This record gives sequence, C-alpha cells and structure tokens, in this order.
Amino acid sequence: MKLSTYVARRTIYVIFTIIGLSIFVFILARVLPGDPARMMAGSTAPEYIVERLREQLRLNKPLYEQYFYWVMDITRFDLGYSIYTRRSVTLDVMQYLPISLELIFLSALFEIGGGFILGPIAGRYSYKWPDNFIRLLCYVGISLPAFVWAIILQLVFTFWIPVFPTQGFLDVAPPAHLTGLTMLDSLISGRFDAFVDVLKHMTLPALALAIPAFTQDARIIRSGMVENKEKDYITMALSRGLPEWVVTSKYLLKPSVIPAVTVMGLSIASMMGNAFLVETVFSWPGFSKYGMNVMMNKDLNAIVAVVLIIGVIYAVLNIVVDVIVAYLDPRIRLVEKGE
Amino acid sequence: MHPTAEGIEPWLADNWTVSTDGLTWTFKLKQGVKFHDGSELKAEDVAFSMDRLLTIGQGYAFEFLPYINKTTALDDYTVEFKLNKSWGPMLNALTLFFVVNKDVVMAHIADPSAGAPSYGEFKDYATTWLATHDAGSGPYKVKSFITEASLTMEVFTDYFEEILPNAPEEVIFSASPGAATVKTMMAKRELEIAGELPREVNEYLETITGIKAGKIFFGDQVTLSINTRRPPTDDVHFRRAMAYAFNYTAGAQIFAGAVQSKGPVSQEIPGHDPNIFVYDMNLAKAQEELQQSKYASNYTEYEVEVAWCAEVADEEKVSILFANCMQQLGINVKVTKVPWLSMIELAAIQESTPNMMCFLPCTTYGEAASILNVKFHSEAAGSCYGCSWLLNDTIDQMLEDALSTVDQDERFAKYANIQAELQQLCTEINVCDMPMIQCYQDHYVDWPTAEGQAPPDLCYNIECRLIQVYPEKRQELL
Repeated sequence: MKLSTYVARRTIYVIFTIIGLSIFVFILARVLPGDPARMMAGSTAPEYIVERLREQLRLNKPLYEQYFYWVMDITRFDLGYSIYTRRSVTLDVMQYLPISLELIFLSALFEIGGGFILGPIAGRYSYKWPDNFIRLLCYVGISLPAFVWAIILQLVFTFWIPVFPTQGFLDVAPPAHLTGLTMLDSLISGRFDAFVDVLKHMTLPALALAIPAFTQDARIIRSGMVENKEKDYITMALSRGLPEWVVTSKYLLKPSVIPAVTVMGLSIASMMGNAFLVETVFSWPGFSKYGMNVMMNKDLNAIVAVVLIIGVIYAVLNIVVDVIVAYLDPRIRLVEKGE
Repeated sequence: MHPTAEGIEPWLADNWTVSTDGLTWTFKLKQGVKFHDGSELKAEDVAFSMDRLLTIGQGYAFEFLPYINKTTALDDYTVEFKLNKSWGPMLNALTLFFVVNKDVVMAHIADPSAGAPSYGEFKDYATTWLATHDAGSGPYKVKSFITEASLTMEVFTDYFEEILPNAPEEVIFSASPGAATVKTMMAKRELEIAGELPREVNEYLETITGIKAGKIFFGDQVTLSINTRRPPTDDVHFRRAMAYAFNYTAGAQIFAGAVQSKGPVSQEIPGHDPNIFVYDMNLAKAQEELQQSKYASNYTEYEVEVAWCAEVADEEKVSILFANCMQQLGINVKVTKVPWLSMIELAAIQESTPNMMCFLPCTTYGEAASILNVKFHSEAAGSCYGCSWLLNDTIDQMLEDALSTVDQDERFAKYANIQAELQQLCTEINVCDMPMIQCYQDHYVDWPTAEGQAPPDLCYNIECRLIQVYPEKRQELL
C-alpha cells in the first residue's frame, strides 16, 4: 500500500470517529447534573430569570434540535456561546489553544530531546554505571506526576535560584496579535523582548510536563535496544567489522525507537488535556485549564468544543505517529493490506 | 452609590429626592465626572446602563428587574427612575449598579455568536467586547486583560474622587494560581494581597515576617438550611429540637475567625437584629421539643439527609459535627457529599431537596433584605438559596411590606420582625458568621479593608485607590 493511500484511509477513519465523538459528548454534557442556565444566572436569581436564559440559550429545545443547531453553527465555523466567558467559544479557542500549543510544542521538544539522549545512552551502556544512573533518574521522573515536578521546579528555579518567573504568561506588553502564537508573533513583529519573556515563562511548565514523559520514553528505548542487541543481524554487522557507533545508530536504534515513538505521540497529545494542574501552578492561561473550568461551570458548548479539539489533536497525532512508524518499519503498512 | 464601613454614600449622585408614594426617584448627578475616554458622564449614560442591565437580565439584574420600570434622562445631570412598586433598599442596591459609557458601548456592539442572547438593535450589547475591556469612570482603567492569566489596570488620573497618595499606579490581578505558587510569590514579595486560601496555607503565610491575615466580614454565613416540606424536618418542633442539639461553639471553631451566628442575617449586615432570640445548645430543651413533635414516637424510623458541597471541604466537618450532635437525641443522620452543580439541581425540586443542605450564603448588597428575600420568599423556592421551601404567605407579605418601606428605621424594624418570625419557624441552623481571610504584606501595604474598615459588600473588598504601598519598606524585606 502506498503511504498516501494509507494516510487517506486513516483520515477517513478519523472523520467518522470525530462525528461519533461529537454526538457522544454533546449528549453526555447535557445529561450530566447541573443546569447551565442556573449557573449563568447565579444561585440567587429567581426561576423566571433562569427560564428566560434557557430560552435564550435554546436549552428548552429537544436534544436532537439542539444538536441540529449546533451542527449548523459549526458549518459557519461558530462553536457557539460560552456561558463561562460570556463570549463566543470560537474566540476562546482562538485565544487558549495557541497558548497551549506553544507550551506543548516546547514540552514535546524536551520530551523528544530527553528521551532520545537518555534512552540510547542507557541502551548503549546497559548494566553499566551510566545505565544504572539513568535508570534511577527515570524511576524518579516517572514516579512523580507532572504537577509535583511543577512545584519542585518552581521552588528550585524561582525561589532558591531565581532565574525564571514564578508564574504567569507575559510580563511585558503583548506583541501584535497575528497568529495567536505569542512566540511566533513576537518574532514576526520583531519583539524579541516578548519572545524571551514568553520563553522564560514557558520553560518550567514545559519541563514539568516533559519530565515524566521523557523518562518513560528513555526506559522504552533502552529496553528495545537491550533486546535488539542480542539479535543475529547486530552480531553479524559487528562481526563484519562495522564500527560500533554505526551499528548502534543505524541498525540498533531505528527498530528500538518504534514503540517509543508511539508512546511519545500519545503522551504529547495527552498533555493537551492533562496539563491542567501544571497550568494552575504556573497560572498558565492554557487550553487544559480552560477545559477544566468550563466543565466545572457546565458550559455546554465549550465542553463539546474542548473535547472535540483534543480528540482531533489525538487523531492527527496518531496519524503522524502511524506515518512515522510506517516509514521506520514498512512491514506495518504492508501487513495492514494483507500483503 | 458607594458602600463604606459606616454605610452608603453618594458617589456619582450628588443628591436625590423620592416621591411620597416611593415610585419615583430623581437623582442629580455630579458634574465633571469623566469616563476613561475623557468624555463626561451624563444622565443619558445612566439611563442607558440601567436599560442595558435590565435587558441583558444577568448578574445582579434580578435585584432590579421586579422594581425598575423606566429610567429617563431629564437633562444632562438629572436622571429619573420610575418604579413598578415602592422599593426601600433601592439606594443600597444601587451599589451594584455600574454606569458604562454609552458611546463606547455602542461603538463596540457586534452580532452575537451562535446561541448567544441577542438584544435586537443592540445586537450583543457589546458583551463580548466588555468581557476584556472597560467603558467606565472608575479610579483604574484596564490596561491589558489576558483572560485566565492576568488583568492589568492603571490609575485613571482624571478620577473625580480622591486617590490616596501612595495608591498603586498599576495593579495586576493574577488568575487563581495554586496555593504553592501563592506561598512562593508572597515569600518573594511578588504578591501583595493573596486570595482566599486553605486555612493551613494562611497559617503558614502568617509565620513569614511582614505578612498578616486580614479578616473581612461581608455577610458570609455557614448555614444548615432545612427543607421544611420533607419529613421529618417538616415539623417545626423537630427542627427546633435539632437547633437546640447543635454545638454552635464547635461549629464556629471549624472556620478561622468565625463567630457564632445570631439568626438568619449575618451580624455585619445592616438590618440584622442584635436583640434576636438565638438557639444555643441545650439538650433538655431539645428533648422537650422532640417530644412535642409529631414524630416523637417514630423519628428513629426516619433518616435526616444532610448534603454538603463537595467543593468546600470544611462543610463536611460541619455536617459530621451535626450528625454527631444529633446522635445524642437518637436522630439518624445521613451525610452526603454533593458537587455544587448537583446541589443546584437537587434544590430545584421540592421532593429532591435533602432535609438539610450545608452552604455559605452571602448577601448581594449590604442590607438584610438582600439575603432574606432570596432565601425565604416563595419566589426563591427552587433556587439553592431557597432550599428551605418555606412557601409561607405571612413571610412573603412581611418581606414585601419591608421591601416597600422607604424609611430606613421603619424598614429595619420590619426586618427584625421577619427575623424573629423565621427563628420561631426554625428554617435553618445558622452555624457561624464567617470572615474571608486574605493574607497581605502588612509591612509595606496599608489595606483598610483588612484592618476592619470594610463595607459589607464583596465587590468592594479590594478598592485599590484606598490601598497604599511603600516600595522602600518592601526593600527592607528582600
């Protein structure tokens, strides 16, 4: 099967998955306890005000009719009205999503960098002191959740050694809003002060998110390398006189990273939804924190939008991972076709 | 109108008159009050703002909707409110009314997003724009607003009232960072005033040199509200038996700085009756009341369900204390943890409302009517505050009569009668009046609110123009 056909098939699966997810989340959000109109009106507002809001928000319509309106709105790229921020969910998404994407991007760089440095070193020097040392690091990294790392990093690098800001997103005037990605906007508009400021604010939360992930990746890569080291093709390559670094980098590492690439894809996607506590520690105005707040406030349109967007990110990253894995190991796409 | 610790004072208004039937209020506005764009605040802006509030119908609009019929700008500096019915606490309620710049708002109206309320020719009434900008005339104006992160405000030099000499030129409100972050920021003197934090965090912060915990009473009360329509709490003697069996001293100790409540209105709120009869723990009287109850012979067959709000951990302690106290009478109590959203849903229907609900009601404006009306008037039934399901015509009439009384002394006397009647009906167990505890940098910040000069209005606890900051004193701590 050609790689393009493979990707096209995967994309079609994703479209059906997202439609199914939208129906499921739309219904689930509405059957859970809590009246959004009451939340919006406040606990002291009399019932007639709440009823008026139900009408304004179309919450008095049957579920299928609400879903129909919602789908019609989506076709106009309008995700509906947020009762939490009192503005369009589309505006909220345009604000919070890029901020989180930047954070996740930096975190992904840390994850990939950390995993691909520690894993191969541990694998190459298996059962020797570098492996033992990295194993210890990994166990500590994996066993503490990201929000604990956030608090530790904050204590060390903002209080004891104050080199990073304690919290927040930006201490200088924001750059011109061009793409919504603040770092990119800073560079485009020549605001290097804003670029450095955002980067400083972003480093610790990104690292906190990345530590449990890259320590896990390192262990997976190390295990793969140790297992593959014993394979005949490696012995043969070494016996034919190939330098060890060539064998390690070209023949040993490539098959060993396939499981780690899959895990990396999922962990990067999961950061988008699970970064809530880290974002709270650093007061980072991200998508995950927004998602948690809209759920606490039964903001129906925003809940559906958040879940769908995270679903799409998961799906897209899965496709990316599949493509990378299929590239690394062509047998995978061939097996799918039954060849 | 503007609240102070001593009472309300005129703010945008210079003076006012009220017609003898209480249906027409005419306000003369101060001249020369500037909006942040430099234009003058006029009567037309006041009328526009009230129309906007009533049309949108959200926030505090519910306080005004039943009363305000029409608002008219008679001239540039005279505005008239025509009322549907007389409304005594109108001046107090006007502390919740904020005037926006009509021209600025109208310049920013836009088509509402899908599913959002639409207000005809006014489209979204600039609700989207105003979510991140300001159109006011206050002492500080919005400089930048990154929602969920920070709101930066800078001083408005043309403000019409006094701004204290050492008041901050710029104020940053940070969006609820975690407790660990607040500790770090306070210790590094990066944060001057912390928000509400768990008790143990406040206690830790108080151990740091130069930090003090301010106790701010603004009418919050810890209450076990009783569903008066569900057995066995539908019997007044049974309710009184519970009220006599509760340990109020232990209840007040659960919350830092709290004092035992005296009736259904917090003692800090104007209109509270200081001479009200108060239930105290008295097991002999509790047994006596229980014997008079229609459930005297079979109350052990019932289970009194107490729901507490899952988001407020201390409410569990109150509920467990209540359960322990009731054991002394042999009353079975079932304590249930319920998320806030579910509490609202449970309270919406009489049959699903638990026997008791533990929550922390507070006033909207600084007068007893503000809390009495939203808890005990029949129209409040179905809301979380109205979970006692009193549905009592006499109380309704007494409330409406008090609300329609313009003379304050007369009105407060009527509030006292209502509070006395409610105590007899024993519609709730008022555990304690609870202050909001906020730590601040006492060494280099003068914050009058934390030093006991707070108006009983939540919105006014951080009035930056009255807060003075001394950077040189801060340096001493670094």
